[in-house]
Amino acid sequence: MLFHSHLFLFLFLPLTLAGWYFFNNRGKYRAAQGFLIGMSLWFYGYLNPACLGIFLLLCLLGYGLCRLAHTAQGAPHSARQKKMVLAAGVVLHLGALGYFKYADFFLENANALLGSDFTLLHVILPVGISFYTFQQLAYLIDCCRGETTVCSLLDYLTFQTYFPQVQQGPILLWDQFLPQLHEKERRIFDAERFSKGICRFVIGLSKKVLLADTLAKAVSFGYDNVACLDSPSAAFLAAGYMLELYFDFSGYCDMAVGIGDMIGLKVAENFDSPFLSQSVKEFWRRWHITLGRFFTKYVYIPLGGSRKGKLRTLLNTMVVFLLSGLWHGAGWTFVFWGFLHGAGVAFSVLFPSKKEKDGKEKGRLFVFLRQALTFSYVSLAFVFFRAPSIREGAAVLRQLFSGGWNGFLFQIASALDPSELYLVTKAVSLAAPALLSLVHMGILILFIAICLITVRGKKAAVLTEQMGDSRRFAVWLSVLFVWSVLSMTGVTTFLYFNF
Amino acid sequence: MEKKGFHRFLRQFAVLCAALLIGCAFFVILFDPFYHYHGPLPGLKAVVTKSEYQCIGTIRNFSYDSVLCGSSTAENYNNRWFDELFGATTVKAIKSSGTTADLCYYLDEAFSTHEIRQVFYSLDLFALDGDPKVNFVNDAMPLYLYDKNPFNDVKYLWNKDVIFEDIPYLLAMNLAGYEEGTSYNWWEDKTFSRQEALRHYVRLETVADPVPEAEYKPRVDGNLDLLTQRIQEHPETRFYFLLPPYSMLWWDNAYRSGVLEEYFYARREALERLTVFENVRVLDFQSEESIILDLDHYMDPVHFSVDINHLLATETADENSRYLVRDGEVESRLLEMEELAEKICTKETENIFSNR
Repeated sequence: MLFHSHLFLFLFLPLTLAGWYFFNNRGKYRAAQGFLIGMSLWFYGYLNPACLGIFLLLCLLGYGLCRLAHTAQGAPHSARQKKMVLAAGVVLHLGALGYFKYADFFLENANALLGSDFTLLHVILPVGISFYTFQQLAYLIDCCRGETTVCSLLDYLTFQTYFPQVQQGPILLWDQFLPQLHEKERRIFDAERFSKGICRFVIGLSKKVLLADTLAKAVSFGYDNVACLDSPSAAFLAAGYMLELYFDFSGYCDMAVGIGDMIGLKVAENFDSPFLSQSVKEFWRRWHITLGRFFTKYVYIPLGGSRKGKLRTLLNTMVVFLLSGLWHGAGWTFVFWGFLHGAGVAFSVLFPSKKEKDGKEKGRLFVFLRQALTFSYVSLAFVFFRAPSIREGAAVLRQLFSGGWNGFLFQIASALDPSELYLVTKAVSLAAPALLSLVHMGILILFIAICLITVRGKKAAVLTEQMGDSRRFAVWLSVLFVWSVLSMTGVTTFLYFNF
Repeated sequence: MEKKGFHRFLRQFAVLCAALLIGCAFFVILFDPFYHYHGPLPGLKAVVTKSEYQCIGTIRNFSYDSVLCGSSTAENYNNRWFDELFGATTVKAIKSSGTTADLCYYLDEAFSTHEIRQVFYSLDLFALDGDPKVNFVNDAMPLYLYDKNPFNDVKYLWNKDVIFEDIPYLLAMNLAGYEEGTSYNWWEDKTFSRQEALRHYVRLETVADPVPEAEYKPRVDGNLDLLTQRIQEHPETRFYFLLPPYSMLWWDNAYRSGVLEEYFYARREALERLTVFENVRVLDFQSEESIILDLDHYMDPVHFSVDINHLLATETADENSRYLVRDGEVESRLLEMEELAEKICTKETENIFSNR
């Protein structure tokens, strides 16, 4: 099920909230959790019920391994037993991820490399498998390390199936979620928290359906016609996709955090104004924060982190980003994208900014230039995230640096075509058709300006925290909500849906 | 901030959202640009331009006694011609590139909601090649307009394209003096000329092997079964089947693609099986040399000018039309077309392309 669907907004969410508070108000906390698990499974299995069995099986087997790790505590040969449990867990979780997500990728490459003829499996990729695999694995590792004791099956299933984050993260760690289940005040309806949850949800919904989906029309048109690109249109394509992806994924995360606040079980923040970053390294501290934290804790630090000299630090960084690329998608474009980000972070490590070195900022213009440079670099790297092949991504960059102009940007602008301005464009097309392309360009510039103001303005978390309870704010928020609802028909799924 | 204030905020937010959503739904139901709930409002004309969105609504909710059914070759008919020639009230049931199963879906909807006196059916040969078991009503369509589920109507009622585009367009076209008979017409934006027709034709270099009969026969037979079933179920309705005149480029392409025999078979079966019914009249325009050899009537190999549509409508109303296929004429009609097709493929088109 999608957050931006009528079924979710007008049936699933009200029903879930009503049931959750109904049981909790009567002190039936276990029933409330059981109800939440049931609704989460409905949410997860709605689009493809076949994936539900795989998900549940992995949850139950994963929990069994956590139990075994717990049992091994204090037993003779405890360390060895825990290692074996951990090895079994890695095989289970990464094996499932490898089979469902990477089998065809490896077979294709084996066929290309060895000239073999292995038949591709074409298995269906279970939604969210990349996210819940990491979340379950993280918990198992922490159990094996003795950082936590194993929770009850009910708590484990509540944690792993929690619907606001099950499909696309944020990837939660146990210490961010499980303790909340035992804080009774979280289970009591709190009007202020609930209002802030709604505010955050509406901001996320509008980012997704008003900004990301509108940008997507122009970006997709550009990527469908790569051969027609010139310099300005290629530049728009790179920056436009970066913004589209940000509004899409951060919009989803805002909605997840908002729902978490409505329920009372918080979801971790995943973005922190990434386009204000002054280096690629800082960008990754602000973009997809929970994934970065997972890789840092479970890959980068165990590899030695930055403790074993500069060269090893750079190597560890590159390993993390290559893995991150592969995690995002089974394709060489993603691996290359990971490499470019690894190289960007390595550059930041070798040449840290003044802010990173001694915590002092230089002048505003200098900061702005660093932010613009960082945005440009990550936008160029993200071309390979979007392009169907490295060759196509390189073609976009080639056009970008060609310095040519053929007016294709006007066609991209006309693809934006927001229905809210239909009357304007229709009137111009009838009264002064020669001016129509200029009007389209004006709309594109206005839209990009709105996007840039949004990304450089207050972040959603701050806006929500500062929200008032005035009637004027209620009017503003309800208009934004209804406008978003009206824009939901025919919308796309989230870009991170298949990662 | 006091909790009481947030309780009030939540109430205000809920009431405002409900009021705005109900207001939007009321606005859409009132003007109903896809005619999902009712026909045009008194004083407003029916503006019908989007077949996928509006056809099903017009079939269910308009007042009519005749149906004009077909694919893109039927879109440029003016309903008024049929109304005047047959004393009818006609509605169009159009599906671009529609198969027989697609059009029969519309016919079934029309028969289930109205008493139908006449069906004017543009019988495209390529539509007889479609899968007779599958129609176009699938996930790629706005299913909320097709099914009878009132809950998914929210996709129509709360839809910014409908509110910001379709309703203003409906009102603007009314002010601009839209002519209702021109529903789904597109000819005004197109150029019909020999040059344009040739520009849209990519001639295959080589001639493909003919498609074996076993491959196409079940499809053609199945599609004609669909039509004969409707004819038998509705003896009170008169069916007019019009075989539209495709240009010689279309026949040349059929020959070079290896499907010429299939189309000959489709013609034979259609003429033989349809002309036996009392309530059916078949008009065959396909072998009219003055049309199909003159590429100035066309914008591409298939689509002809509105003048040809008008001619077809007029001839359909003529009891003594020379295009009417009468008893005992089937063989001569088939032979005539086969000879003409041979002439086209060996002489007429060769003359064009050898001089280019």
